[in-house]
Formats: sequence, C-alpha cells, structure tokens
Amino acid sequence: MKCRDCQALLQAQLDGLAAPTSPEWRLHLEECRACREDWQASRALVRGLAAPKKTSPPSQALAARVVTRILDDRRKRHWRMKLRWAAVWTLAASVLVIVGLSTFFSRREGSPEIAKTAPPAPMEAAAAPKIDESVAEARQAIASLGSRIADRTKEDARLLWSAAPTELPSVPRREWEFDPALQSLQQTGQALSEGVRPMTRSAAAALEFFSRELTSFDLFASQ
Amino acid sequence: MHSLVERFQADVFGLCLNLLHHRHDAEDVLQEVFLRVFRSLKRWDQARPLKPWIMGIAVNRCKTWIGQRARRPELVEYLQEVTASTPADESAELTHEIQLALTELRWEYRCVFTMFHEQNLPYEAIAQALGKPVGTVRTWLHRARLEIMERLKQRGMISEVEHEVS
Repeated sequence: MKCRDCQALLQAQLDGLAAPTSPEWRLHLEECRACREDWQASRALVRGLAAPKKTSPPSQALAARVVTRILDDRRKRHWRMKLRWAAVWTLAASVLVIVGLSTFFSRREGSPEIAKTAPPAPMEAAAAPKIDESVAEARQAIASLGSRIADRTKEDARLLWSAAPTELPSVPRREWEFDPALQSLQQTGQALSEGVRPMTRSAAAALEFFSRELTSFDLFASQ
Repeated sequence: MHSLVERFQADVFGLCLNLLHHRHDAEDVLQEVFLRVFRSLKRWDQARPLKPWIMGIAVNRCKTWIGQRARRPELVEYLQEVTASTPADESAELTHEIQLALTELRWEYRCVFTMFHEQNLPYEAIAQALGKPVGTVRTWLHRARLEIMERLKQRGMISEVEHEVS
C-alpha cells in the first residue's frame, strides 16, 4: 500500500465510511511514520468532533423575535412599495400636467405660424372675408368691364347716330336700356358671393382644425 | 412562518455560531438569514431541498457579517470569546483546539468543514448551498481536515495509542 492509498482510506473513514482493517494498511502504518501520525490525528479529530458541545441552543424566544422582525419587515416593505407607486403616479401626473400646460401655452404664445391659427374666432372672421373680398373684387371687375363695354357701345351708337343721314327717322336716345343689364350683373355677383360665403367659412374652419391638430401632433412628436 | 423558523433555526444558529464564534452575532445573523429567506422565498426552486438553500443564505450572510465586523474596532473581544473558555477534559481540549484551528482556515474550508462535520450535510447539499461542484467541495473538505490535523499534531494533541484502537 502507498501513502496515497492510505490518505484516501483516511478521508473515506472521516467521511463516515467504515475504518480500514486490512493487513496491508496496518503494515503500512507500522512502516510509515507520516501516515501513522496522520491516522492518529484523524482519530483525535473524530474524538474532538464527537465531544458534546458547550454551546447552548438558541433561546425559545428567538424564533418569536425572528417572526416579529419578519412581519415588521413585510409591513415596511409593503408601505415602501405603496409609497413607490404613489411617487410613480405623482410623477406621471406631473409629467402629463407639464405636457398639457406646455402644449396650451405654446399654442397661445408659441411660434408665429402656430399663433396665427391659435385663436379660432378671429381666424374664422379673418379667413372668410379674404375669399369674400376676392369674390367681391371679381364681381366689381366684371361689373366695371361690363359698364366699360356698355359705355363703349353707347359711344359707338352715338357716333353712328350722328353720322347717319338726316332723312332717317328720329329715334329717341335710349341710354336707360343699358342700366338694367348692369344692375343684373351686379346682383349676380352679389348673389354669387353670398352663396360662396358658407363654403368659404367651412373651408376656413376645416383649415383651422387641421392646422391645430397638426400643431399638437408636432408638439408631441418633438417631445 | 413560525414553524419554518423553528424547524431550521437550530441548524442556522449552529452554522452561524461556528463561522462567527460569537453568540450575539450569530443571533443577529440568524434574524438576517430568515429575513432574506422570507424575502426571496419566491426564488427558491421547489424541486430542490430547502435546507441547503437556507444554509447557503446563512453562509453568505456570515461572510458579509465578517466583512462588516472586520471594519469595526472591537475585534479583540471576539477573539477572546473563542479562546477564553478553558477546556475541562481532554476531549473538550480537542474540541477547543479544533475550534481554534477552524478560525485560521480559509473561509471556504471553514464553511465546508462546519457544514459537513457540524451540520451533518452531505456533499451534494453543501455543493448546492455554496453553488460549487461536488468535487470542489470534496477537495476543500479534505484540505480542511489535513490542515486541522496538522495543527493538532503541532499542538501535541495526538497520542501513540490512537492507531491501536482500530
């Protein structure tokens, strides 16, 4: 038997296996002083470990104290968790309020292009007259063009009339015949502008709505 | 909860006492251990036995406690608690020497030796508790024994009649 085998037997015996009893082992212990001393030390170790301990077990009250502390800890952790959630909700609400306020103020006092669309009532009043005005201008242009053509026609008719031979029967001047045509043209332009006005208001409202929505979308997108 | 604490408190207390060598510290660490156990009970794998898991937590808490204790000034007091008691007979003297030798061992060796010889945990349970392979645990235990035996030899705690017993 070698020292290595002897050490393995020693460890196995300390692990709780049966002590070696073979003649080879005994012979090796007689011959090898190191292994013999190790064996003696292992026996001492076993005796030392087997000796009754002086340490008394934990007191009965310790378990109760431990349970009390665990329950306290649970209560504290529960409250801590509640506080944490409350803090999270408060933070979320604050963020929402800040975002809402910033959106509101940016619409009122923000960039110029946003400011133009911000107040709805003046926007509606300002946008509608523009198209009204252009329709009225068109009406006026048509009317003035009509009156100019009528004037020129009247002038031509006068020249023809003056150049005409005297033997022609006298025809009374009938300038008033052009006026109803002008009046009807003016009435048509006015009716057109009146008819277009609701459409222009709806279009202006739609434009304002889209501009507002797009502005708020941009604000959220930029955040 | 109370029954679980009562069921394991003796083992946890014994392990803490062996690793810390101070009764009050062992009681404090025991409370910490059960706090941790109940906090992280959801993480315990029910397919595995509970005792090694609790013992693993106890070892970790003891290690942390020792680290904190090293930064405190009253270290001498702890050492006195270990060495102050005078052994009455030869076996008590042996026990005393083994305890002293344990304090000088590497932390891993001390844990493994205590868990095997004091808590009677098998290799597999110690390996689970420490999160190490069984082979590593076996090696550590063998080295721990050899170091303690060496100390016993140096201290003259062995006698010539030992080998004749077997």
